[in-house]
Amino acid sequence: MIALRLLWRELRAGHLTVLAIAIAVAVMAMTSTHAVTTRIDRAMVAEATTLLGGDLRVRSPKSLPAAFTDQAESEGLAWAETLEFASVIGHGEAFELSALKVVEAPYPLTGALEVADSKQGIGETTLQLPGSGEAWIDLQLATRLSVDVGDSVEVGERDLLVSKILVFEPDRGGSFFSLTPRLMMNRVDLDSTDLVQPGSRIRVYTLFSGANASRFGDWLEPQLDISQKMQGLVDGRPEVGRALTRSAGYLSLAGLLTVLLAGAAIALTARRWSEEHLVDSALFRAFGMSGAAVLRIFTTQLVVLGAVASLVGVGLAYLVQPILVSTVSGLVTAELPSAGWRPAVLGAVTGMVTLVGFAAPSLIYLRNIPPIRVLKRDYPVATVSRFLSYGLAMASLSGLCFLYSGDRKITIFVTVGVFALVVFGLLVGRLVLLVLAPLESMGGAWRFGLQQLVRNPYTSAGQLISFALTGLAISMIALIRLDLIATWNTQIAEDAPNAYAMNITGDQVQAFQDEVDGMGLMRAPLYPIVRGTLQTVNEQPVDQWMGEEEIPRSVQRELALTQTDDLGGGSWVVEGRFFESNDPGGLVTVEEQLASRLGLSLGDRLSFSVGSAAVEAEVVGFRHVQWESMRPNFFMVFSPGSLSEFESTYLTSVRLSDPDTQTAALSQAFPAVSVISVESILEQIRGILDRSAKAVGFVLWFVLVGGVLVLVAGIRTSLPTRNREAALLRSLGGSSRNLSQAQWAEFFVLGAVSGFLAAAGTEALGYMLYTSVFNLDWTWHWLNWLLYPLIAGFGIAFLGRWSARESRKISPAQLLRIIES
Amino acid sequence: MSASDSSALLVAKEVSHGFNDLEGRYLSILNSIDLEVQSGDSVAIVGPSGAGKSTLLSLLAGLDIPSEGEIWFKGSSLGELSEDGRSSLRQSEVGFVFQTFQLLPGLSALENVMLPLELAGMGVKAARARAAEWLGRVGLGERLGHRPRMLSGGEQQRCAVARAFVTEPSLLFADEPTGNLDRATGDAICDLLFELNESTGATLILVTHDTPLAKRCKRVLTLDSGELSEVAT
Repeated sequence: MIALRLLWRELRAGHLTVLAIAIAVAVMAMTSTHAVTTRIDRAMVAEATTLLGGDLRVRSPKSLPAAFTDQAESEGLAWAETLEFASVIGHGEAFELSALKVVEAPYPLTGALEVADSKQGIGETTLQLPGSGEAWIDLQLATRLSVDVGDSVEVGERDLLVSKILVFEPDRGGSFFSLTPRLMMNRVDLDSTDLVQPGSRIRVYTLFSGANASRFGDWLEPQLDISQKMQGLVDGRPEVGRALTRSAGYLSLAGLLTVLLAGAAIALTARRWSEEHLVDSALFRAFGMSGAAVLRIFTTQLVVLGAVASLVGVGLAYLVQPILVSTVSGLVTAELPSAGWRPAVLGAVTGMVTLVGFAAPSLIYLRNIPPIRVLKRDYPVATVSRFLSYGLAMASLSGLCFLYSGDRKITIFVTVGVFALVVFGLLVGRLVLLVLAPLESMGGAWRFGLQQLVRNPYTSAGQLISFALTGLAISMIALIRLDLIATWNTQIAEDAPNAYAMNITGDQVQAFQDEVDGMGLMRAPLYPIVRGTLQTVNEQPVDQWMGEEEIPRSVQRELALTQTDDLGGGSWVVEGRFFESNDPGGLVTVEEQLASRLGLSLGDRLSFSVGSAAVEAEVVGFRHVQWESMRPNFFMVFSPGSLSEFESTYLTSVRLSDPDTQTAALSQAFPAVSVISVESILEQIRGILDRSAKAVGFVLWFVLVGGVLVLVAGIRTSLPTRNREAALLRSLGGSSRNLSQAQWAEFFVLGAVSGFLAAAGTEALGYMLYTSVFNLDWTWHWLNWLLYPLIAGFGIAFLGRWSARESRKISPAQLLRIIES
Repeated sequence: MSASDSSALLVAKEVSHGFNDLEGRYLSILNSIDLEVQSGDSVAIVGPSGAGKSTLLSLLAGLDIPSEGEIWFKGSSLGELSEDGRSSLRQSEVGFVFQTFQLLPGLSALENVMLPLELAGMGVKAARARAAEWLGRVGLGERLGHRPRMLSGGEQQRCAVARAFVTEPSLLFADEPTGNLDRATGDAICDLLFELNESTGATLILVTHDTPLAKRCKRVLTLDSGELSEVAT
């Protein structure tokens, strides 16, 4: 086939090297990024599923129908059921309201329990469960009841022997609502306790685990009734789920930006490829080929080249991947799960889609070359409409965005962001060229340098946009790496609270504060807790107020209400105001998402029942709450004085430097106070963040390499014209110094404007993503508006001069000869 | 006159051509040109720069369609043929030699000459054999594997001549074939062109500034201000 023969001949002659390298490197970058991030993502998910006790968890008031568990078994899933309910546990004269967890094998499906042999013992992993007649209790319950291993406790009608101290349950959760004292027992003893009667409030958790858990979840979810709730990691363990969701978001965004960069590299090289084939196309037509036949030849060449280069890229990616993974995994986890075949397919598909999306306009252009161009080089050629060119590129970009992120919001933002940058780039590019045009008359280096930009506005605009997109991709990933993760990390910083102290009575407040302060520990303010239920909004019962809308789960139960004029960390007002010292009681601020779901406005009046009494308050502000900050956080915060008439206990969070001994010490000093360490959860979240940071950092290197490729490809597209100008200048007596200065001027201006556009694009895209996707505050980076143009200006000037070095070194005659041939 | 009235290989009747400039004004290049070229003829079209010589050549070769008038090749009206029809005609009947050679830089001399044969559907082996034979005929038998950059200007044009003749066209167009060459090299290329014109019986239509070259043709036509007139030879 002639197309393939021509392709082979051109490849052999080295004429397709740049395009082939661009595709292969782009595909390699995308595949490696995707493969490594997939592996890290899987590692994180695998680790995180241990926090749920399985891949999937369903909460229900009674056991799930056998049909569901039968289906799970037929899908090859393992399943287990646990029961949780509240009951009073006794020992001698002491009684304590506790959360009971009834388990049986094969619980836990993922992760493992940790137990100690005594209250002072060190926790060790175990695969056992409490045996018949045994109970495992946590340190809190043991301290409250003053029991240790070997004692017995009363559980309903039954006495159970405390055989272990329960140190860690993977699926327990970290919110302080779930931190009541805990007792774990075997299901075989449940009936003998006589605790479960018809009408008892029990939570049954059914855990599923296995490769098909996700598919099973899709099957199961529509069949669940309103009392049965499927819990993934995000809703089952929100404090870890959020960390995981955001990490996945970062990684997918980073991968996406790699695609963007690869697209720019391919678009530039494809454009050069089409320009280099203008003569070929005209010649083929003169030799008697139809336009359709010419299109067939070039399309075949491009598709075959794209496919081969993509496969090479995929192969290289899998070759280098073990090296990269070993670098990353050595730091984060012993072994990463396999990435599977998906990144390979995705990489190859991406290469082809990008090539077609970005190069199709070039192909159409080649098809339109009239045969008369063999005689008249300046004969006009019908250009491909810019709408079509940019439309195809944007369509392929959007498709790939969605393919990679699976997130409609990110896809829309990136597409809109890039589109805005292109439009803005074209406008600014034109404006800059208009401003620079008079400089042409300055003479010397400026004139020759700027000629290239001013006289070829289409090429200049293309380069400008490609360089700006490259800058945008690099800066976004660098920002994610340096700024986003750092910002988020501070929310759960090394000195973040790692324990809650609850049930502190009013008369213990001062003594507890003194004790904690005396131990030199950091703590949050002590917040009084009053339990109350939202009854009315603007004097309408909540169900009437909500109308057809579902009532938020958080207001269907008792809420922990507090009053304070110290907002502390982890929460801030986003609308309205917080309280001032002279504010009277009767004011309330509401968590923003709950406020939104309740449809509240500032000035609305809320009424709560607290026991048999009622509390009314006017909404004066909405707060953003960082639930993952591990500080005491509340949906409703009242102004001081609002809740003073009610009896309350106090809650705070503490930073323990030695969680085991200090928890025990505080529990000994204040037996009625519950001190719960959440250090293990914090460590899990930090682990996820560390991995994200390393993975994103890894992607950044790839993007930097891709960025240099784009810059070199972009500069090479204009080399023939530049060489012609250089030959002319040299033949008219210009020195290589003149040329060097001209190239400095041209590339510096090009780089500086690209840097400016990249800074603008980063601010716009960053603002959209931070505020709407990651729910984080966006900080404007004013310094970047100065730094980016300077860095890009000098960087592109350096690369540009290097790429165009040939034109300064060889004689004009040689240069002209190269151009003509 | 219609094509059927003439036994000429190529007939142009009242051909006019022009285009609109940037301000939308119509600029006339060729005015009502009549021309008949017999099979085996050699015709030179001379004239000052900008007279429209290359435009006329492109119309006669079917690379473009005249604004007015008609051109017949072997009795078929080029204007009535579709774009693909004209392409097909060029493939089987027409050869080109260009001032700037127009060799593909990525291909060797042999591959450049093979190209029109391959585009016409000939197998690689047969195309290679025929191309090598033609390169031998133009004196490049020892330089089959050389790329254009490795050939001198004269050698590149020889290669282009071989490429033009390799399909054994009945009509050969040459646009300033010596324009990029020095006198001696140009003369050698001319000798080659006329020798092949004689030996293959192909009709030669060339555009040139070069009076000695034009005088070697059987007919010389002058194009000036869009008007074509024959110079007695």
